[in-house]
Amino acid sequence: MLNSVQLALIQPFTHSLAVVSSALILPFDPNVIAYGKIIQNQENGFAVSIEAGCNGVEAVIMLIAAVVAFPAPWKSKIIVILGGFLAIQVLNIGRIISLFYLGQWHSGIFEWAHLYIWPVMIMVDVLIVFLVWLKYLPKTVDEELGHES
Amino acid sequence: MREHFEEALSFSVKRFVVSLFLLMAVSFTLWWAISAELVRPVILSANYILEALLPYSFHELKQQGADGLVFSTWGEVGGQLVPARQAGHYLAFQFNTQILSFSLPFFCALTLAMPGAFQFGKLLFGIAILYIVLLLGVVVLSIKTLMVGIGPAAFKEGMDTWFLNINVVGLFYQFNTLILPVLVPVLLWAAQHRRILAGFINKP
Repeated sequence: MLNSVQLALIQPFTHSLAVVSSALILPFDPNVIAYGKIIQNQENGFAVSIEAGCNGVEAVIMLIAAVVAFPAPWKSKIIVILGGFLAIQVLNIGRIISLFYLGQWHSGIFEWAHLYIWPVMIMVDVLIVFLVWLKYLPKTVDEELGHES
Repeated sequence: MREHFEEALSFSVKRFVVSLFLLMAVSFTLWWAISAELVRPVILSANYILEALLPYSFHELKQQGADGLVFSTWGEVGGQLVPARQAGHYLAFQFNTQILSFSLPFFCALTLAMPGAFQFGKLLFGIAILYIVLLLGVVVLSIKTLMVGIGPAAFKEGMDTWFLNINVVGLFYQFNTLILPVLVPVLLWAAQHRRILAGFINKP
């Protein structure tokens, strides 16, 4: 079942991220090509492959779980999920493009950014979307939470 | 509850995010400098757990800087796996523990960036929970590294347990490296400040 989700949804989505990233890079760097989930510099051969964990899907799932679990009107939940998906993927494309160039420049800094900094940045992005949503949620009264204190 | 409404209403996301980034710069620098020391008790504890879980294919877990070095009970002669005693050496495989332990500076920055009175107890409690998650992560990462290193057949020899299935190990590995190091700090932070978060939806 999980494999069919990968084939039907996750892999095409990951490929589309590679296409969008290379389309954004192309006006500034004509040496870039994308095939499948790979973005490559034709001049020096350097390539990045967008793997599981690099497509932002986990972050979107975490946001959806947090929003769905929070007591709020459904219309508001759907808006924040769509907006959050966009915010996460915009940042994720920034991550892909930055890693593509960091990898060509300095392998140590690439490793730092790839393994430690960007995963935290994406999670902070999820947190900011969630906090901004909470901050501007319309006033509702939830008795259950009211009894907590 | 009233003070939580007030805390929620006065909470500035912008101020929190700016503080968070500044504190992350400090905490991540400190973590990078001492990450080998931070993971030492975890490597020692994981060694005992792995001995119990994998009596046939696991020999020892050692530390090399911030990396773990997992020794199998196998060696290699002429490109073939043979028992380590026969080969005269142990095959060992390296893995990076920092891909798990960065949850510690992330949680510290989150906690310290929160406005209001700083509670040292909350920070310590969170770090203790993160150490348990880190221990689980190091165990899973060792198992995955060993399985990939010597191959599933040699890895499972003498044992037929559900958790040594290649798909189970793969799933646990993904969950422990991709999800938990970023999710657990945020969950702990949210749980420790749940009353302020509840204040957001119970605005007076």
